[in-house]
Amino acid sequence: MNLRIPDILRPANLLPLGLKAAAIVIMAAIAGLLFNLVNPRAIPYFSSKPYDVIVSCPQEEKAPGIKRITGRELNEMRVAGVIIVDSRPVSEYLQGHIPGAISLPYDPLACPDPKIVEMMKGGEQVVVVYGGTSPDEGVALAQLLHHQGVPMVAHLEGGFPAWVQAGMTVKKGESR
Amino acid sequence: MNYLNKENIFRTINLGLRIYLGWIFIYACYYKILDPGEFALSIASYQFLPLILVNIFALILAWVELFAGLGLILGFRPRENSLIIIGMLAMFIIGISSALYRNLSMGCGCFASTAVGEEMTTGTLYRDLIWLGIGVYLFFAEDGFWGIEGIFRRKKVAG
Repeated sequence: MNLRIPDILRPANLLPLGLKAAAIVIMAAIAGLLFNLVNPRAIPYFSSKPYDVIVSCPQEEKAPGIKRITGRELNEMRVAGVIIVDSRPVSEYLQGHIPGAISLPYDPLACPDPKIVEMMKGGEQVVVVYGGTSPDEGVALAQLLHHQGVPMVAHLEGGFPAWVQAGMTVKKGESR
Repeated sequence: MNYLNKENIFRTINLGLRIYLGWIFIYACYYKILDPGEFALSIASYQFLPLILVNIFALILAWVELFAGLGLILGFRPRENSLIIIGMLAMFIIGISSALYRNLSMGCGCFASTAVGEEMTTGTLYRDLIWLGIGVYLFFAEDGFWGIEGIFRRKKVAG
């Protein structure tokens, strides 16, 4: 195969190639902007939130790692007593959640409610955090809670979708 | 007919590299598309863009990654998509270098959010440089023979 370097880099060839690449970028941009209209996690197109002055939430210790548990394990743990935390947005929580779960939406720009954190720190129950379809959701909040001094934190593997897929009970509307 | 000729060996290598690089970008855009807010935060933590542009940049970049990755894998406009990927990687490399130079303690936000993603190190930079090398190679060497474009080209010639 010939590496036709001079040919490709000639303006007569490079210009149409660049224009076609720009057309692909424009199509992708339109798709991205339109998808944001239907994305349940839509964000404003232009934000005025002061991202550059983010202050970390107070941290008490370095988290050694969050234990991952399956839906079946969580179901067994519920009998012994466990605090279940839903890290998804409230709208998704209201559409369906694990029975008994507390809604504590993860907000990367804010610290979780200190009263709830204090309640978790004081108790001797395991705190199990779960998220939704996003691969990060849940893990981030679990790590944050653990960093804030909650001693026993676990993360539900696969989040809420895995719980539903396993055929476990789901509650709609307000729980607590 | 001898299929093991030099041309086919190169095309096989190119196809493998196209799928590899394309898959990386599709995999990388997954969380960014689902959770643009977290991705916007990752971009903001680089302290590179004016605040007002962070969200719109996050919304667009994730989809450009998806389109370029798909295009590369399917062999649709492979050179154009390689060019887009080269541009994105050059931008990432500048961003990562700048963050490392300024000693910003953060995740790179490449495949997961800053909160749970990998810690940014010089290894991240070297990895992106290797991908940039692959992108540049594909830009010059890939002719899209084994892909959508190649199929249409051959049909046109046959017709």
